[in-house]
Amino acid sequence: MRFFKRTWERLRHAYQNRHEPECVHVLADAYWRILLLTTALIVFVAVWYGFWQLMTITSGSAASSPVSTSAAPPILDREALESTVNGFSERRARYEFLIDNPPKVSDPR
Amino acid sequence: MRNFQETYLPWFILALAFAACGAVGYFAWSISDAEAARVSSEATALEEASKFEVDLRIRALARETREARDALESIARTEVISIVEAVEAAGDDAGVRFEILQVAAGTPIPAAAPEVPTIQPVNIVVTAQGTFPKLVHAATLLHALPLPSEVYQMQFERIPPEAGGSAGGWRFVVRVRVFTIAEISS
Repeated sequence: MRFFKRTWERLRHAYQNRHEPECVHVLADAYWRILLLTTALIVFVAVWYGFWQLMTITSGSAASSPVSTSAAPPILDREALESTVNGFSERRARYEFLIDNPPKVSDPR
Repeated sequence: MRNFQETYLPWFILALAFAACGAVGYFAWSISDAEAARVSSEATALEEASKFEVDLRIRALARETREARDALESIARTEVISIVEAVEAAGDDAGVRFEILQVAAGTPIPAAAPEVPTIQPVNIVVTAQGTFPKLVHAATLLHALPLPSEVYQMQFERIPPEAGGSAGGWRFVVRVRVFTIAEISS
């Protein structure tokens, strides 16, 4: 905290006396350091952003690469088909059974 | 010479910086383009794979269910003549002579999809005379017809002797509805 305060005071003093060659040197030095810091920050952000984009693409393709097996609804239900056919077979068997085994009923008269 | 360097070198570096920015923009654009193309080709490949898989599944299903489908087709696509013969056969099996009073096509049941055949109800009115046990036997057989059918109305009535009926004579009227996908010509 003290370092920043002292630097700030130095810079302000240099700016107020910018016609002095020594102060111009201080200002130029500060300018150069700010430029370096900004450039380093930009490079760091660019690298971080690029890496993040690369990770996004990699994870996205990894997530979507397996062939989707969630298929469309089946157009034919095999069990329903077989149960229907079996139902008619049972009905035929019941018909054949009833031919030889009529129901025992008496005339209600 | 020194003046030349001092004057033009910054401009040259500025131009170089602009060129670098342009190059970065170009690379970003080309990478974005390549990414879009890759996503598109991946989606196309996935779609083709899914289509191929569905096609394979349908073929396998069609192969495995051929017998059941043929059986169901033969049951469902019963001609009207065969339906009437089946009804008459039920009377013969019960020892009763059926009289077919009416055979009429009902209101078609709309199909769920255009490629699904329309189901046509065939309404048949049958009457017969005989002893009560035989008529019940015949009615039971009509209930159990090996066709997609239902008995939706049944009426038994005793024939009085004065109306020409023998002792113990009964008459019944049965309305049967049989469903078919066969074409019915009007």
